[in-house]
Amino acid sequence: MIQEATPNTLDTRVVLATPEATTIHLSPAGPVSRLVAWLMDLTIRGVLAVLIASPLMLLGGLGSGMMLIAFFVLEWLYPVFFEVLKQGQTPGKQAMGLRVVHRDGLLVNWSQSLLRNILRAADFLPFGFAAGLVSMLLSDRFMRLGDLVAGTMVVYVHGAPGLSQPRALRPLPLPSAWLAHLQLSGDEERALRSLATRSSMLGPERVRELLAALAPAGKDGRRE
Amino acid sequence: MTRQLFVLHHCHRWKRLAAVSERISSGIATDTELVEFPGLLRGVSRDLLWARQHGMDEHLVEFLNLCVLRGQMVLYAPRPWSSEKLLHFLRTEFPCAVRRDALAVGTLGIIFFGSILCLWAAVHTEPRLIFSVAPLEHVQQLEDMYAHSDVDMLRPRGRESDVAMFGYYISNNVDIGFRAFASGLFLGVGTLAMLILNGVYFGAVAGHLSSAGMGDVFFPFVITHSAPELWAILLSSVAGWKLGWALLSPGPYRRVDALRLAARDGVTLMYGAAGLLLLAATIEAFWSASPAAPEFKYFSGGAMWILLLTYFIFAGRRYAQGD
Repeated sequence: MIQEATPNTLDTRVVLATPEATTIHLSPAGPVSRLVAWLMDLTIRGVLAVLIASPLMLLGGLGSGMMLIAFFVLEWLYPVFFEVLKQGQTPGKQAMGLRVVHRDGLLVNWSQSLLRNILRAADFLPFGFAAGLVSMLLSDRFMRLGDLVAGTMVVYVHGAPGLSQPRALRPLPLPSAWLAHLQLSGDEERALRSLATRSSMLGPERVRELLAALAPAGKDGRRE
Repeated sequence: MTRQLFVLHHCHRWKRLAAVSERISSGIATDTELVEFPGLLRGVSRDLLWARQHGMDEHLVEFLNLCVLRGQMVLYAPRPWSSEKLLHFLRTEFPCAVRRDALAVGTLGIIFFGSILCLWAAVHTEPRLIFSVAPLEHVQQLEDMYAHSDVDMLRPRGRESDVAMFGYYISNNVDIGFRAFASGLFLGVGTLAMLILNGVYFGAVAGHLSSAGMGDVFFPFVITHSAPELWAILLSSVAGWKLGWALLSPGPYRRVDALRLAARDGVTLMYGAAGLLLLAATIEAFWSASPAAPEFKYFSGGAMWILLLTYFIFAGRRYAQGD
């Protein structure tokens, strides 16, 4: 099973060790993106409520009973279905690139999802998600009260915006022989390679500026 | 090994892992793919380790990170729900969970049923007390509902309104149950308050209607569904109280861990409470208001109470003894 690997640092990255002797890094999401996702879900729920209510209102008593149940399900169980069946992503979270996972990085099951969503009622108190916000700011993984009790967290699906699969597999504009010749440390090498992947996005002035920070190795590095 | 060689050498494995993970999580993987999967995951994990150690750029490392994470999610996917699990829950897990917290159930039960009985007796002897509990128009509504011995007044529009009432009972009562549970996080104060307020309300209504001579309409109506409904309210409050108690007295655990352990039991109790409320709503909507004779309803009510008590006291004991 996956366990936490290193002690907490200033960084918000969560480092998890796997049994295959490697580590997985996750980035928990903060209150702002989660709030936007929640607002999006609220809008979607509102639209669904209207869509469901309109035909049912014509059905009299039968319709009003089903409408009440539908509203109940929309209020409490809407996130649960998505979190368990759609790999932790409600539509709002999908739009914001977030995912609900267990604190060991794996997907949540029914009990955990129900717990965190029922306890959202406690996060809302005393008003406007104040308790949840305080809990998120005090926790090192941005866990609100529901997350704390259920042992879940909300993470970004991709480590950072702009990291994409095709880029990962494309060759870097950086001759490896030259890199080997420089004999940089692991961190410096990673920094240089990352700069190379981003060099097409930055202007040449900026690239020069960043290379200067890697001095003296960067002194003659004006490769593209 | 240079970066480019590394990518060329292994990218087929990464793409294969991604494809197989997708197929497994959609449930359409073949047997050969299932056998292939662990080896692929181990290989890509090694590649991720190599990439991190040799200072590869963020893009590549993040890509491999996601591949491995996706594989782990598939490997440890939660097992799907089955009817066996449901049976096991009903026969064993739920009653055992209730008995595990017998002390809390007993204490909160005394508070709850005690406040019902106290208010019943109080309002029966001093009828004006009802107005300290409910406003005038609500009391008038209640009296209108139960005033006529002609039971059809409880079902003005027949079958249709049954479904409407069913929907109302489900949405209202389960909402109360969930909030009773959630408010337990604030040291159990909200849970206790809700429990006592509900008990006071039920007792006062019972007392008022019996003192006003409408008992012969009211009691047959409520007797059957009151068993699952009151027990559901009690069990939701026990679950909420466990959360509060975990914060007040976490024992040898950190408060966070005590909360998590209490929540695990609490979820079992909440599942059971939700099931009981579903049962209560079904009875309340489709049986309680039916024009059956009062003796019939008293019989079914008594049977329901005895059934529930027997269930909580005796069900699942064979398993607990290590069957």
